[in-house]
Amino acid sequence: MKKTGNPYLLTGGILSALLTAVIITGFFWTPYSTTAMNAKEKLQPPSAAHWFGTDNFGRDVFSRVMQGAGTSFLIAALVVVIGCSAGILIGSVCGYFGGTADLILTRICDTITAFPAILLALVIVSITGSSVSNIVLALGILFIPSFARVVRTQYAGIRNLNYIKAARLQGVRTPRILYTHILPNTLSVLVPAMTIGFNNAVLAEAGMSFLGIGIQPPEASLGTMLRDSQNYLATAPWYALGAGFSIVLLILSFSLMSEGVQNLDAQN
Amino acid sequence: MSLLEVENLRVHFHDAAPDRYAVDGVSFSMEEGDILGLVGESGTGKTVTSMCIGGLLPREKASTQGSITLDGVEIFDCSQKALNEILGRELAIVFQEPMTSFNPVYRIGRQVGESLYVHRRDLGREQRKELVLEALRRSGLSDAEEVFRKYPHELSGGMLQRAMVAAAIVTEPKLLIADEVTTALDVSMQARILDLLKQLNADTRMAILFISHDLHVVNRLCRRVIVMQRGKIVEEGLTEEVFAHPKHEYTKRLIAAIPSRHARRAGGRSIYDGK
Repeated sequence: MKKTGNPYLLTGGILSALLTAVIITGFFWTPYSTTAMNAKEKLQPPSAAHWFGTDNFGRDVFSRVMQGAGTSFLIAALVVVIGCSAGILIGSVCGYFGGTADLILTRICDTITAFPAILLALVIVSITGSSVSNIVLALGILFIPSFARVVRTQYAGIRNLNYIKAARLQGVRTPRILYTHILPNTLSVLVPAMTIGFNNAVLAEAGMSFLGIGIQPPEASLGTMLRDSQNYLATAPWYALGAGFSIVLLILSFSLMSEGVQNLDAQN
Repeated sequence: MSLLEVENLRVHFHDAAPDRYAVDGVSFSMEEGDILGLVGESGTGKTVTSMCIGGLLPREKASTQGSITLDGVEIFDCSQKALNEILGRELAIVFQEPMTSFNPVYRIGRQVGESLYVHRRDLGREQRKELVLEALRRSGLSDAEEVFRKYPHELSGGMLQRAMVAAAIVTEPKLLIADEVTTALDVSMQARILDLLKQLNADTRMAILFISHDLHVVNRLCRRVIVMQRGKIVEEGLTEEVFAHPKHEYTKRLIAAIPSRHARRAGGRSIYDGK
């Protein structure tokens, strides 16, 4: 029997589209102000007016989730862009040329990977000060090895294939071989690596904010909200649930979509 | 001055025994419009020789001695940059395995035109496309427009092999090295590729160095032939003479290995009898 449809892609796609819509809206408009405090309405349970309830300052949790998810999304996307482009650069050179440079760069990457990324990011951000650009830069650098390794393996394999030899025989210069002839052939591996990297970046940013070294109040971030909600876990569990559930949803939807895209790739 | 001059070429792979040369003192020359056959069994250094001519032997794997001049330029003295200027423009190499010789993510037209893109930047997009279509047609792909738009996996091995020939001739090189181009093809496709090479040679005076282990094919195509064994040239001369009066024992054995109509009758069996 022929199996039709692609449930991963469908669910992931719908969820991601919805989330993206909510996040983009969050950049311009939220139901309530995300910073204005309202002592009378603090720690309200979910209601028609406040879908996710309110926090200890009387701010609407849903509005803050909208904005916080946007911040997390932007940071994660930028981290992937930095990590991926530098990873492609390093990985392609290592994989294609091999030799001493490859050995040294690979060892450096291994060394970075040996430490938990979030720990190193904490150190870097503690030194440089916690601002959005510092968080993005720190995480971006720490995410380079994961991309470099994937890209390197691909290049090391593809460089020996006949069509690359053929390109060299046509007198094609090396940069063009690296980025026009080989790079598109690594996409089947690179795209999943990017989605995984994106998810890890969302988690890392949330973790850093949770530990108080990421996004600083009053700006909303899923991590800071999760931290603030700890104290009210018994009295106002919706606060923690709103933030935690959003992180889970964000990661789940993009994982599902990447899984769906990979299945699509396998089918064809 | 000859188009290609190979003098006392010796190649030693670093991981081989000290006295074992992959190519051991090979010398030959080719004129413009020549078709030279290079034959010998697997591992005699035919492909290594052709790789040397293209300057493609990695320096960290092998050391070379001797001299190769193409159109007066010493290949061994060339920088990579100078080599890139020659490759694809003066010298084109087509090898076996057409199925894996095209990049799966690009259309055929783009890949056939790659040499033009690299070497003829003076041409516009439309002019390059015209030249590519013409090369495809000359290579025996009559529905060139169609092939131009196809991806490699949409074409058969024979068509890809023709497309590879098209990619090689699109810049009208002076020398084409065809390394076992017919080996992976069935007999009728072999014949068509051979006719095609002959035609191109007659039309454009392009010299062809035809590398094969198949003497039958070489006999059809080449005016002159070189027989190699264990890195050395053991016999060379006009194809007819070498075939009619082989001097070297190895050549005799190679010729005896060609299945002929006579031998088939004598043996009483043919693959076409089916019994």
